[in-house]
Amino acid sequence: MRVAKHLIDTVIPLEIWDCPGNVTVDTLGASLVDFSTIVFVIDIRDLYQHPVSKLVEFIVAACQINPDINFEVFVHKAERLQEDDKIENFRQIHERVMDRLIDESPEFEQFPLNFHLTSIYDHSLREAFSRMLHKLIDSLPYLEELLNVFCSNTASPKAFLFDTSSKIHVATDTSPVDKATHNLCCDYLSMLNSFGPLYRSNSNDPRTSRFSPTPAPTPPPTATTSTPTSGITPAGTPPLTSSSSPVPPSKPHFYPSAATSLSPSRPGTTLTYHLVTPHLALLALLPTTVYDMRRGLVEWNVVWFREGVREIWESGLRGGLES
Amino acid sequence: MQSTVPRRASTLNSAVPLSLVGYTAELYSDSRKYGYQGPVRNVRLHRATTNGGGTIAKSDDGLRCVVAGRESLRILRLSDPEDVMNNDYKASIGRGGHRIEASRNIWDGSGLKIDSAITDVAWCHGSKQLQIVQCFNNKILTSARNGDLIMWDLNKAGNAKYERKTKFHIRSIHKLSCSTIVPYYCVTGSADGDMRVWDLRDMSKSIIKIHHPTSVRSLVFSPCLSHPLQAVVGLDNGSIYRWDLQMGQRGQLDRLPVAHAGPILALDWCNTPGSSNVGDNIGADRSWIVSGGLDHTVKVWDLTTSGTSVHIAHQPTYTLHPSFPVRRVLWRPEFPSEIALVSNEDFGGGSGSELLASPRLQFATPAFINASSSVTKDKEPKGNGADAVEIWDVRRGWIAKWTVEASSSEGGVTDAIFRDSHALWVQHASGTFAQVDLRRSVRPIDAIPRVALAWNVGVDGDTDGTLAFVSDRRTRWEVPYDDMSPDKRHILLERKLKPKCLGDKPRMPVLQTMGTYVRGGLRNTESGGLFEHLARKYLIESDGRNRAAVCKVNTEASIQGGSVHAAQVWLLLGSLLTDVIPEYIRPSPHSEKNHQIVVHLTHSNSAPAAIPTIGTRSGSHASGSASKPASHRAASSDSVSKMIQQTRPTPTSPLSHRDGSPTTKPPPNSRNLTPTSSTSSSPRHIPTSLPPAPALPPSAIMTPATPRRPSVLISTAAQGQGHARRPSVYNRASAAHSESPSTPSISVSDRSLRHVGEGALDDSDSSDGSENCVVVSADAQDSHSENERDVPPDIRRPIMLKSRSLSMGRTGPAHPSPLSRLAGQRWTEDEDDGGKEHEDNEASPSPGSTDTDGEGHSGRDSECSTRPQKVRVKAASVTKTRLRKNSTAKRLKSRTRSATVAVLAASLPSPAQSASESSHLVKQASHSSIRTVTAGSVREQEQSTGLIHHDEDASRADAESDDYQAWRGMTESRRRAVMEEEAQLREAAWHALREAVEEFAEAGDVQMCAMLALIAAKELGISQRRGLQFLEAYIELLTRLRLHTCAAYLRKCGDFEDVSNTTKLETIIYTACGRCRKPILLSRARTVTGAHAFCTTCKSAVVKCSICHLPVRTLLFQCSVCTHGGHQECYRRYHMGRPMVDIPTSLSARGRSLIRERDDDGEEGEEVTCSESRGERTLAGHPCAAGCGHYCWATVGGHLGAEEAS
Repeated sequence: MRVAKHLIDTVIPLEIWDCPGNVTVDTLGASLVDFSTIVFVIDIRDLYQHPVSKLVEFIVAACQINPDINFEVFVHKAERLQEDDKIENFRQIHERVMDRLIDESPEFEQFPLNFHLTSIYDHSLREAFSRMLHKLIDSLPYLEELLNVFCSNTASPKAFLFDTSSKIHVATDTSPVDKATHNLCCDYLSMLNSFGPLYRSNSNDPRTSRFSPTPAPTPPPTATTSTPTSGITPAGTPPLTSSSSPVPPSKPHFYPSAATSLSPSRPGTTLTYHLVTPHLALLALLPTTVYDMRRGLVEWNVVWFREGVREIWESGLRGGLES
Repeated sequence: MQSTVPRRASTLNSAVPLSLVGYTAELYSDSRKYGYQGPVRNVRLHRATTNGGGTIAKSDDGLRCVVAGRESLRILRLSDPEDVMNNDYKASIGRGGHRIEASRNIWDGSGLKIDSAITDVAWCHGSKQLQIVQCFNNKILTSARNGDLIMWDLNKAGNAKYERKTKFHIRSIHKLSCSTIVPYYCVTGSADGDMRVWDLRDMSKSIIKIHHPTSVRSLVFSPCLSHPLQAVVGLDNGSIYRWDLQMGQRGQLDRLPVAHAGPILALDWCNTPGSSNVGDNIGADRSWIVSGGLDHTVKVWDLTTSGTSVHIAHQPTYTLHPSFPVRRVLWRPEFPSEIALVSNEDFGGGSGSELLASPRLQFATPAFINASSSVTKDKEPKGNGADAVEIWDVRRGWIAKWTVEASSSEGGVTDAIFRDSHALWVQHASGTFAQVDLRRSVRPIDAIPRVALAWNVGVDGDTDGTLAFVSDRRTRWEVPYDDMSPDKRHILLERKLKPKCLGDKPRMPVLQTMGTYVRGGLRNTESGGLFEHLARKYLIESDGRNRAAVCKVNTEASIQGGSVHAAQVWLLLGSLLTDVIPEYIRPSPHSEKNHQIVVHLTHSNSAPAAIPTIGTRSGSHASGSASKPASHRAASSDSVSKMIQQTRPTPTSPLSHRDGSPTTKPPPNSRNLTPTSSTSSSPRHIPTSLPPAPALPPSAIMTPATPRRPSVLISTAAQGQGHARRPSVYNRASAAHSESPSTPSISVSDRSLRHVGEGALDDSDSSDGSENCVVVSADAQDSHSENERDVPPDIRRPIMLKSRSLSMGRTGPAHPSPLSRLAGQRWTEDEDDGGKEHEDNEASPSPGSTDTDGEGHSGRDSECSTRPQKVRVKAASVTKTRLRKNSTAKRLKSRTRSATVAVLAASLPSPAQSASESSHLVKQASHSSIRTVTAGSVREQEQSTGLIHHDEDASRADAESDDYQAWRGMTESRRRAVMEEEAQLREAAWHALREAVEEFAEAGDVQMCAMLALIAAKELGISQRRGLQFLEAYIELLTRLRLHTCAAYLRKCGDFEDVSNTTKLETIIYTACGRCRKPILLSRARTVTGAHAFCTTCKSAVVKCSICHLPVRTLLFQCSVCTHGGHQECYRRYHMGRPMVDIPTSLSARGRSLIRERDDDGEEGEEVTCSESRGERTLAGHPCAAGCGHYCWATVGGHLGAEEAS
């Protein structure tokens, strides 16, 4: 059992270490200072005794070495229990961990520990990773604000900014995330990922793309080179598929979009997809009336949204390069 | 095979102890009638906020509120009709005169941009308890999406009310709450997971920051005086925290991990109805926290504050399950156990506050806005657009107590707040603000049926239909509605009852009944076999037989199948369907001779039956009575006829009506011609006699219907007494008997007949008869009154006397003996009834010659007749029997008595004889009660009747005349009595049968129910609709059992149009000419037969028989391979005439596919089962008749013969 390392580049570059269950702080091979987040996976059907003590051990160690570290607990394989049992076991684990922590020291009472029920049979794992990721993205408030503005300008009840390859959403607007909506977006995204490569743009001429009036010169996304082609198959928990993004980096001005109507009834909802950067896509629920009657307005908002995201992204890149 | 498992779960409702229900019932009333009583308070103000709705905060004064939309902030003033108008910016007046007045949009001119869009609003509170330097009730706080906290001051001059803003949250602030107790404290919860506490006196920086692992979705400041500085926080991950704000991050008081499975969108903290609780001890302040989440649940948590240890229970006290995700929960003032819930459904997981339109859309494109708003309006009629605000009672977790329908009229509600206990302020997503009068709310529970039924259709031939049902009782003041008017609350105290309050136990269903019905597989069990057997054997009426005959067949079928119960029912029904009305009343007048003959037989048989009870006596009586009978005849016939007349009107049975057509009666003359006396009597006897012997006892005893049979038996006897006619018949018969008692020889019969004939001719009755006839005809339709027994003895005597005289006149010396027998028997019956008339009878002149026979019979039948009831029945049956007799007599006439006798005898033993033989005759026979007696006997009768049609008329005539005489002889009262008795009996039997039907229906015996409904729906009181249900259920069952022929039979013959129509659906067969491939169109009228066989294009017949070379228009046999074919009949003859030829194996190898046998009508066609013949089997077949060398018909060699035979 060895630590497997995966590189994932979403909005921010990630290095994911997939560690075996018997790893300890000492055998990890690196100082906890170097980690920004520890994801601890517990099997919901497991005996909790051992994993919980392991978790507590890590937490205690982390608090001494790196108090800023985020701890996320994934209670995994949730699909194996019935709904009620699931919640009950989840709660039990939650309480056990907290009890153990308090036993360790009352100071740990307020240790920010996040629990997620996850399963690879639905999108809960992606959701959990998204939330984990949100804490690492410094630019999250700005992305979120961009989404908020987009939402209010287009009457969208919900919008996500997804990483297209991993299908993790890096930001969403302030409204609560409805599981159903999230699942829908994930499914739509994977569908597009599957079929996207079948299509290509006829025009290599950037002028012809509808996205012409960009006031800011868009620098070629050279920094992205690492991501799309490097097939990172995360072993272990995160089932991230690495399909290449539908847009080759050489054509930065082509931004495919798609939309699908979710309900046939009259005041229905439409799910739209707009690629905003080579790896990020905006998925938004829009009232069908808005989408049908005010397409231009929506597009216009998308353009501005895209501009905003690109700027954030590029500044992030620059910062990354500088550092 | 069937088992019903009724379960009953009953739980006492804790809230209202059952013992108190009645006691407190008068206290309850409809809570919608409490509170405000004036005109409707509904009023709406459009565009109070920007599109997308907003949030509401209420001012301390209760009249104003602030409505915050995304980019709007207005102060609204709600005023009653009598209030003075303020000159506000906008106003709207509702129907009831209530007004909403709105200020300008304060947002405008504040210089704020859309990134400060408002997410929540709070109206700060003035100081209530605490003396505080600053009063904040003119301050309004709004939270912004970018994390700003903005304060507005209403007291500022001019339009700019904006005071200041401060920003410490990095991300959007989701929720804002101000303390009602400490007015300068405010808490905000943000997406960054922080909860910050602000001191409004100095907003430059937040006092405390408490961090949570995830976003804060909702929070609420404590309203409790005892611990004012607390707040409860609901997180995005479903956890609930309670904090002591003085302690900061360390002040965690409670943590409920995973309180909800989704984000907690709403929290409300209800302070202390507990303190006012009489029952609750310790000045304990009881608080309740209600939380609502995206997971479609609302939970109420108990927060008991006792001393220092205050904790939220880890299990919710109540859990409500609304049908929507909840975005707001509100405790209803004055109704401690009620909560208003606002749905989040319409916002697609969005935060509602930014729902519909962008500012650009709004300002730049009014047209679009109209479109979108029209969209929302379109939703309204559909009702799918928006969830109304619902008010729930915590004790009932699965259904709302009230639905505030008015709140859904404008689309989704983004926020709501109670104005008072009976008015709600709601903000719609469309921007409309409305005040809703809760008196207009409705009870959703009324729309919910209390009975539910589920049916499990078997899977793929598995016919188990399992049925489950639940039913609940609707009680008037059931739990959520046990509201008590405030005026009456003092009564509660007087009675030491506790008003409902939080903490009461949730409602449990009381007295719900649940049941399941599991029906075993019909196929597998024995009963399944029985079902199938019966399904195949049962007949229904419409194939040309009369109903009684059908009943017979069905009886046999059930006996064969071993279902005694069913057989009894059929027997009973058959007997009931047998018409009691004397046939003479009917048209056919002449068959007397037959009757006579029959009479002999009947005598012997009937006599025994009749005699039963009094067997011993009967002997003596018989001798004595013999004389009587003779006398009776004449007299009785008259009397009877009279009686009949009278009685007829009364009879209820429809059958009798049938027969009754009075006009048709035979002319008296005809009767005269035929020996009336003899014939009439004979028929009666016959029927009675036949039944009694074998079959009667069991059936009669078993079923309630049985009384009839006995009655029948008795009746025959009784008839003897009452009816003069029979006596006459008897006389003859008796004569015959006397001559050849053991085996009636033809000669004997002849003699007797002759006698009869003579007697008839002689009879003075004829004249009487004619008179009677007329009378009778009038009444004919009515059932015969067979209640002779009821007739007081006094009356009888005279009649008897008369009859004697008559008989004397008619038959003279020869007859007396039979009469005597009959008379004796009858008398015995009478005796049973209570008359001591035997003596009289004995005294009567009739010769005792017949006695011997009578005795013997009586001996046999005594068992049957022993019951007193029987006697009555007899009376009823008597009339019937008469009819029978008549009919039988008629038949017999043609033949010699002996012959008839023989027939009867033969028929008796073998019940199997088909009823079919007795086509028309059967009817008559059926009327007679005799049939009911025994299946065997019935058949016999039928047969005999069938044979002897011709004579019936004569016999009837005789009978009539006799009856008339007897009838005449009766006094008015007696007649009436007779009639009543008859009617009673019949009605009793029908009643029993009707009950039986109900029983069957209850037991799920659809088969029986359907059959009964088909045969005697009218009599059994089965409505058309119910009958249809029975039949359809039965057919459905048959179909599932794949008894398709049975089902088809029912569809065809049942006279339910709905059912028979189904067979007419999609039954058109389109054909084409095989030669030219053109469709054959039937342009000509359907009356032209054979058009289908003629191709108009080819101008020739479609198929020519290859044997007879004539066109084939009927059943066709055609080989699909060589296409040769012809008349099915031709082929049948041809193929049957020749042996099968062995088919060479080479041929047979591919012959499977090639050689197909086709059978068009199944007669010839045995399917080629051999087609899979393996090597060892040989194929044999018929070569094509056309000589083409093809084997058109092949089967396995060995089995051929057998198959063909079948």
